[in-house]
Amino acid sequence: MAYVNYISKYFVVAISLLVFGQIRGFSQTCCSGGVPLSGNIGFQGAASGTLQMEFSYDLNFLATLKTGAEIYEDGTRQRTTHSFLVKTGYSINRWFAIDALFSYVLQGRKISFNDQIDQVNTHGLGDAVLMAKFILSSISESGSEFQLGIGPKLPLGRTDLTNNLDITLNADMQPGSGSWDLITWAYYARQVAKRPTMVASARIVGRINGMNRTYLGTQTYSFGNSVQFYLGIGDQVVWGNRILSPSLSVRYRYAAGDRINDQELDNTGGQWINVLPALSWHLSPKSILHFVPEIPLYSNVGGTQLTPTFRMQVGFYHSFGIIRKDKSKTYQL
Amino acid sequence: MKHSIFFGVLFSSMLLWGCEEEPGGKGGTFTPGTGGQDGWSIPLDEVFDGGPGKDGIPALTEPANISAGDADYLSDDELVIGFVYGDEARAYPHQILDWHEIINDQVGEVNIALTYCPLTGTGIGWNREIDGEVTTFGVSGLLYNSNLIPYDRKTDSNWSQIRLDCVNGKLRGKVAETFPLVETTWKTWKEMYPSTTVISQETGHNRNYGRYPYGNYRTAHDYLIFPVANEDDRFPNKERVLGILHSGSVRVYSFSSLGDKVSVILDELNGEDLVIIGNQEDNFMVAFINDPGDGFTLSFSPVQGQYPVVMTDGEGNLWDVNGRAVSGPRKDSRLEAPPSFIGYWFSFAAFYPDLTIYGDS
Repeated sequence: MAYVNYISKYFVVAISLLVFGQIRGFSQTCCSGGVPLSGNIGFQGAASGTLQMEFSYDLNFLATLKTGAEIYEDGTRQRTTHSFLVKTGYSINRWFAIDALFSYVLQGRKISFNDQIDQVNTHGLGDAVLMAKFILSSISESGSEFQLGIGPKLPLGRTDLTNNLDITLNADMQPGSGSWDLITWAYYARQVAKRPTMVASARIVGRINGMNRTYLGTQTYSFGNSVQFYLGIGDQVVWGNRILSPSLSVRYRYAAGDRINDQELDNTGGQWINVLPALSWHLSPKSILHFVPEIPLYSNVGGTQLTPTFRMQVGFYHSFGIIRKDKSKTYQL
Repeated sequence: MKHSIFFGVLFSSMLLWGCEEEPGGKGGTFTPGTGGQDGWSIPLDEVFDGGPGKDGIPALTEPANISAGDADYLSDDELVIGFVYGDEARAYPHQILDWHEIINDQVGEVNIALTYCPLTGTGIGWNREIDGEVTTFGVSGLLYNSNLIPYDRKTDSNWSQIRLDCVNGKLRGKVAETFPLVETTWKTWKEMYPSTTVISQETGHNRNYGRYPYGNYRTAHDYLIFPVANEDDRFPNKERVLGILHSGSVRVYSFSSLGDKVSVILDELNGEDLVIIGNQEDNFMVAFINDPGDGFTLSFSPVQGQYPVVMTDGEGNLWDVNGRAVSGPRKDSRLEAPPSFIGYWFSFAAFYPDLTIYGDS
């Protein structure tokens, strides 16, 4: 047991919930193997002048074939998306902050059939998200935090990568979506009464997608609009001389079907409910390592799709500047 | 379309297994055009990755088949593709083909690859014996003009289904030898061949065969998932038509050319007499060269209510839907079938922009 009084308990737990307790939200077409952009945008509020940075690696492994909610035993197909994410946020003042998220993506598609393996890999700079945030209330003032954010997703990633035969791959294997999208974001968190180290939070992320007008040269393609809801709770414990922040989040995501030439594409879209048990290790008051596995609880996909079997994210967070402290509360764990 | 499509005639003077005693249907070959780049006979920038990847749509090889009476998973109005060899008839349901696209099968002595592209609605039977070696075909995951590109597993060469030739790899330029098939409803097929077998749903793959995997694709005429080289609005895109590829020409026949009874169309394509037989209500249409082998041209007329017999001629022969004389002086003779298959209109227009339409002036 130890006393914790050198850092805002709210802050570290909220970081665990908000920054690390989320790992995806940007599906690409029929197999949900997309780059986790919208689910990762949005830092917790910090004092004016604070610069927050996070570097993370995200793995999305898909080998579960489903029709609707029914799993089909099929060991022939795998999709893997490795995403390297760089996120930064800057608090301009008490009310406003800006966040940005950049990605580099490696995608793999593996088919095992009749003792033969066909593997296709792509990689490249992915899309990026910029977001302006308005901080309506802060934890230090009211015991709760409420932020709203909005911003564009920039189509920085390529959409014309080819395979080893120089044949253009489909949207699912491209690092970019080719469209300008709109991300909306709302975040609420509050300390749980009688236990200042415990934070409960809720978050909604919406995405309205634009259209790639040059898909396969002459087609139009738009990924389905989506909305995500997160509910989470986190706490902190002291282990040795380190603070650990376990948290548990549940994510519900709905995605509409993709559209090609303004026709809805079958075998896209769906609903997913995942649980995210995360653990963060506070290296210092300003530096945190995190590990977030994501376990599918339920999904009901549009048509027949490969859907995530397992996801995980590891990352490193650091802040520069002054971190807002609470009023020197201590709490015996 | 940027390249010329087809030339010449390699039309099958070569019969598949012999002459008049031949128990299977007589098929043919068709020589497509040349062109393309980088080892391909087709424009590489018009070949696209379909998404699932090579073998991501698993072809079947000699799957289990069951009797018609046991096939309670099929409703009467579902489409099947039928093949007859000797006394053996087998049906390949669209609902299985939608999920597997290729069935490598053996019917009697025949090694057939039933290739089916759900995006173009084209079902074509290929001889799996190539240069004396039997191979199997798989789904490459690639598409050209929205159409299936099978690959053969002996040489890993890529083929174009609708062009009927190998377009990339060791066998590039090789022309596929086709078998005549009958695409129709399960009800009609059973009526024609009550003792038919049909592919079982126990394919070794776990799929929901009762669900069409492409949403409203087959009825939404404006809905094409992949680019095509040429569009033509003379018919709605997804209207099913019969296309005949013969002597360097292509002509399509609409079901509306037929009546609600068995109908016969006598036509000529590039100097060759053709007979097209079908029934709009019973949903089938097949084509043969009007030459029973001795240079004569027969005057065919339809026969009603005697499936699989569909026509007779001035000599008193009765001919079945596979072009075999089942009675009469020419009993057991066969009419040769030109490469022909049913598919969505847009696919013929995409591959063969110079095609003609039967009945068009």
